[in-house]
Amino acid sequence: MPLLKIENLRTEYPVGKGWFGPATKLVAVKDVSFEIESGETVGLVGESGCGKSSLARTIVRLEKASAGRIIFDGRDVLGLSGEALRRARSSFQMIFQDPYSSLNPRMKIGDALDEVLRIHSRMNAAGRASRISSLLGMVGLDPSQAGRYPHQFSGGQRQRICIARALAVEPKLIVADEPVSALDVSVQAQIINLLQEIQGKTGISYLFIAHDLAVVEHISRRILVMYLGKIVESGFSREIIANPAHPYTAALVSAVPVPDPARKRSRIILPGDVPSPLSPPPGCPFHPRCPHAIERCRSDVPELMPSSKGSSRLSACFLRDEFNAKKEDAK
Amino acid sequence: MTGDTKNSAEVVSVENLSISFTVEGRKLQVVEDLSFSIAKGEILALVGESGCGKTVSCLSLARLLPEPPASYDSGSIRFRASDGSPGENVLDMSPSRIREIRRRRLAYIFQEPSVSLNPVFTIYDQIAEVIGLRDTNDGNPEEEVASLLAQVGIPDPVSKMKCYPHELSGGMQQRAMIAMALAGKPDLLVADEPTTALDVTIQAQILDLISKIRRESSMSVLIVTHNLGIVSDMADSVIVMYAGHVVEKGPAPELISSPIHPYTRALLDAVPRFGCEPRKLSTIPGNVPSPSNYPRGCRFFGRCPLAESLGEAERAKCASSKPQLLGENGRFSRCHFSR
Repeated sequence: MPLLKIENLRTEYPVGKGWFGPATKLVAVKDVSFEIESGETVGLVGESGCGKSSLARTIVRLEKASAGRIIFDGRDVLGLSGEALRRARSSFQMIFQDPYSSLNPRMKIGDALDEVLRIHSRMNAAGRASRISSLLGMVGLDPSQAGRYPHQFSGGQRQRICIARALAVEPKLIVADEPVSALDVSVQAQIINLLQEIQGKTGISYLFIAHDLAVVEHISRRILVMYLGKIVESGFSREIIANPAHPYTAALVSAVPVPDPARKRSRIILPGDVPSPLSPPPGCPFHPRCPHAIERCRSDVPELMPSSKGSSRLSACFLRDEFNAKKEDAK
Repeated sequence: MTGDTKNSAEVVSVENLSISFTVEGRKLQVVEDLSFSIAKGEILALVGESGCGKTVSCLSLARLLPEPPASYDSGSIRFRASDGSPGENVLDMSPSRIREIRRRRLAYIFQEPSVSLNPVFTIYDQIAEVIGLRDTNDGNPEEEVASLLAQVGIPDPVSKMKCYPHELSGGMQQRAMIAMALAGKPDLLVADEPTTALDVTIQAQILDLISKIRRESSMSVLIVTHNLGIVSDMADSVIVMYAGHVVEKGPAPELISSPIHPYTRALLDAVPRFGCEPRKLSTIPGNVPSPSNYPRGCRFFGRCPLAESLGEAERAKCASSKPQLLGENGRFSRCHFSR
């Protein structure tokens, strides 16, 4: 049984509610389905505005889902509220991109961790204090620093504190929304290694969101590629990067600058920007930018289906066979 | 640094530049002994982590740092004059001469195009202003703005130039910034993290555009980035900065494929290799020191992976004496032991 099973999840935001007539709806997440196994890291990539963060926030119930199911550990968490939701939340936690704004500047970090433990555990003060020390140790901070305020730490250290806070309730899943994007490369590597060490020790699962494909490939077993609220391709990281089945993934992969002079590849330059989710194009959402689009792409919406190889790889493209054949020719 | 044409075609040369900031009565040196030159049509990349002095170095070229708190302790910045002489030192210039440098010789684009553009003027107004500052103005500014916007790949330029910045996407705003930079026909484009705020597909568009402009108009480019992939993709030569020092410089392909300085090596090892078997990422322990407590000797000592393999006497040398930037055949590195 997968740890997390998402079925046809949909997130909508009402926008520009007029005085007359119905409010417009922005559909940020469109019928998304996927699973995360226990102990697995699943990467989620896509450009800004594609719905990555909305999906993440909907999964941890920070945003309201308008349809679909979220089955966590065999239990539907969308139906939960109040005390039951609060208890369920201790098994899924979130870390955010900006460790500066996700810590209360007036709270000592020991107190920030203590607050979590007071709410979610039945430990006494002494028990909590020793747990705080072990949490700080676990993320590579000196337990004696518990009395300091967030501003006394560097960006990387603050992200460690956020990770410790997420770990405090012993969650089974951490949804990490761009956790390393705001950090310098040397610090980014420290945080990635830390997340992997913690996974090795505790068997925790991650939904890891980032726009840096190299980082996502490095940390994830599987990758989901999102475009305009929909998953357009999913599969094992190595396979997706080596041999993308969707033209959008192919463009993303080719656009990553690689620090290796021997591997200068031709970039696929996509024209234009991601269309506004307020007025998504008809048919395949990617067709206005797709170099391979045919007539059918303008009117019909392709389903997310197993690619021709019949494997675990899913892609949403009418041309998946032709596209693959073309790539074979190019090689 | 394109070999034989090196001296004759230098657009700008910086020598032994040191910059300080006076903060609360303390003078802190943030850039020390910076030297480089950029040839016509060359793309030079400046890399390093935040707080290494990259942006300060860029801004100093046009004396854009507020003085005080900034002050230039030594060195020179010279833009080659039209008669081929090295040009006057920007640090000795009068304000009116500095304005002339800013107007004619270089243009900047920054990380956040939405912050760099003026929100209350249309794109046309902002680009036409630059055209109006030029010495020679022939023809119709409207036509010229439209052709500049077309050159940077903005579709439907005639109607887009009437837009205000907020009506354009981030990628389009950055294109408008580049059009504005091109309007002044500068010799040098300084691009400070031009794609950091943009998505990877838009980043590819913008980098492609900068390369195209360089190819077509042989404009020189100084690009600041922390992304070594971008360096490898488009730069001709590279300067690696650490804590206000240049720690390594050389031609891009060689520097990326065989780095000399332990910091450059550590930076390259800290990024996941895209499309390769994952390995444990090497990390650099700790953080970049702040200018108020730079180590006395080598500034990378304390974080340096090489130092661990050194003997007692050698480590003492790293801790106490500042290494010089030395090298040959166009490759330089600031390390006592790694050559």
